[in-house]
Amino acid sequence: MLEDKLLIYRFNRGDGDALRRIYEKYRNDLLKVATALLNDRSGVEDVLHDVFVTFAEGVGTFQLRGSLKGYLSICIANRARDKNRATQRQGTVGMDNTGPIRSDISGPARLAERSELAEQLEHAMAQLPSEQREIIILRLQSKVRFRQIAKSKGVSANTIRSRYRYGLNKLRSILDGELRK
Amino acid sequence: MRYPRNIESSIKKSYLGNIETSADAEMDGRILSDALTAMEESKKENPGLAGTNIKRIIMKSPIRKTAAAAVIIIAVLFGLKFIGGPDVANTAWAEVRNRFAQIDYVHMYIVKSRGDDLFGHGEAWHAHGKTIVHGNDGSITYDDGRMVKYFDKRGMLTVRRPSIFVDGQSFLEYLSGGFLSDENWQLKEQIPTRVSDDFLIYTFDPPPGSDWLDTTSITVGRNSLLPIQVKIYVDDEDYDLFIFDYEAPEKPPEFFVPPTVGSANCEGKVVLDGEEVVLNISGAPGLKEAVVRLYDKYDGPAEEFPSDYISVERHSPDFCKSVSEKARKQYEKKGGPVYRLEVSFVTDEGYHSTTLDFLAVWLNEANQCGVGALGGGLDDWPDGKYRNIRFSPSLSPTDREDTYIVEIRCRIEPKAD
Repeated sequence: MLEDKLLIYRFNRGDGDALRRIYEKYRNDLLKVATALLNDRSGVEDVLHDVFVTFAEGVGTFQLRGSLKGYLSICIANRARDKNRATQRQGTVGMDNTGPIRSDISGPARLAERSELAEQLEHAMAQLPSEQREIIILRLQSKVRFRQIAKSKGVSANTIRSRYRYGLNKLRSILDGELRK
Repeated sequence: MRYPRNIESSIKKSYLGNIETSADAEMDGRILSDALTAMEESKKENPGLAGTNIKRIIMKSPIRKTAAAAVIIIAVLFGLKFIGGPDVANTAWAEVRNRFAQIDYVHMYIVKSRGDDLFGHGEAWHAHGKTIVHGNDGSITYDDGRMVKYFDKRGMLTVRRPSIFVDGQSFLEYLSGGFLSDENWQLKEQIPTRVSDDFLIYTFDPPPGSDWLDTTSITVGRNSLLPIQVKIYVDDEDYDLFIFDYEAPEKPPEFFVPPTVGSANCEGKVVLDGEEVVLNISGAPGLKEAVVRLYDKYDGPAEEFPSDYISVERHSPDFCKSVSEKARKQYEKKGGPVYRLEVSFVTDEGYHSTTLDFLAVWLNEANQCGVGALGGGLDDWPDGKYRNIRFSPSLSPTDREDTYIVEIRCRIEPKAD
């Protein structure tokens, strides 16, 4: 956290190295969030690109409240949501009807290696309403606090907690159903 | 086959853990190049911006400052219009607090949730300045407004200390560990974050720097302006929930009277900085003797409280430091004098326990402690049996300045507990 505050301080003074360090520090986590929320691999890069360019435009005025990783992850989730909506408007298959395509795991050999549970989880995650999936991924991948997500969405932290709980319960029931088959 | 018990852990390991994000130098180059360009352009467009913030820019200019104030006033007026409805929507927390202070009898259900588990539950009654809490483990806490007495599940008095109500704390302050303080003017002025036909909901952010408290959410009856439930998050998911019942039949006065405390298992005189004293134990099966030494006394200024108050070779420096710091904080709050007491036990078989040598004790108070075998651990006794010695020492003055009465309540706790 202290390092992040220092990085933001330097970034706000126009230090390109600080921006580069922020990118390198959080790139992998943010890619995971984007990949989990999008169904188009090329869209992942676009989302990460848009978030960092917009972030860079805020030089000199950026104020960090909460964690930087949380802030950037929420930005990724917002962009991913917009992109999914745009894709749906173009008449392609919507997020809620298909599982996400993963970065490097679509080859047949890799698929064969994956555990039954992993496949069931991926299938179950794809069936969740996008708002629940988003909170679960932000929470479990980026450790974003419910309060920070709630502020970004303009709802109460309790609402976010409920969505998270509903999401997990739905996953449990989907998996339970799968495993009974 | 059943679904995984810990779904969160499974998502992390089996789902998110399987998403691979291999390095892609080309992508990194594209994104960073565009981001750095965007940053440079933004700096050119706002040459004086780097290192400042909007608030500072606005507040530097008197005209902008006036305009900003006007915008805020308009926003507030519009905000009030949007909220609309009766004035109850703008009821300050202070009003709820004042109403609750008038209540002389309330019954409560307490639920402590930690993760997916119910960590603990209980019932509490607060009446005529007295409070009693029944834990689900059979423990009972009595607080008569002057002293708190905690009886564990076996009825042994293990904690005795001054009540926090002595300092004038309110019951809500007590429930929230001091957060809902009457002195907190920011809380007093807070209005509900949610308003419905039946309820007002007040949501309080944790105090800055709080390392245990998260959001506090209090549901209040719209007409009564009395709290119906208080939910205190101690983490994102872990919370303590208090449900208020104002209609419960009153308990008789004797309900709030603690049981008569039986005599201690051992008692004797100790001299400050004197020799160790061996006390014969009775009424605690398996325990023969307690060995006690009153090490020293500190009654100086809180700011000079020794940072190495507890310094024991067999413990790590970090451990000693943290225990010393805890004692210093207590001293700052309670004042002196505080005494250092060393206690160990001898079993019926003649085995010696570890010496508990970091006990900071205040006169006429008691705290719950525990020790195991001399070699450390609860199973590491010479005969390999499990022995967890629970005890509660207390110190009281005599007519001699350097001599004190030490009383110890003790027992061996079986493994099943």
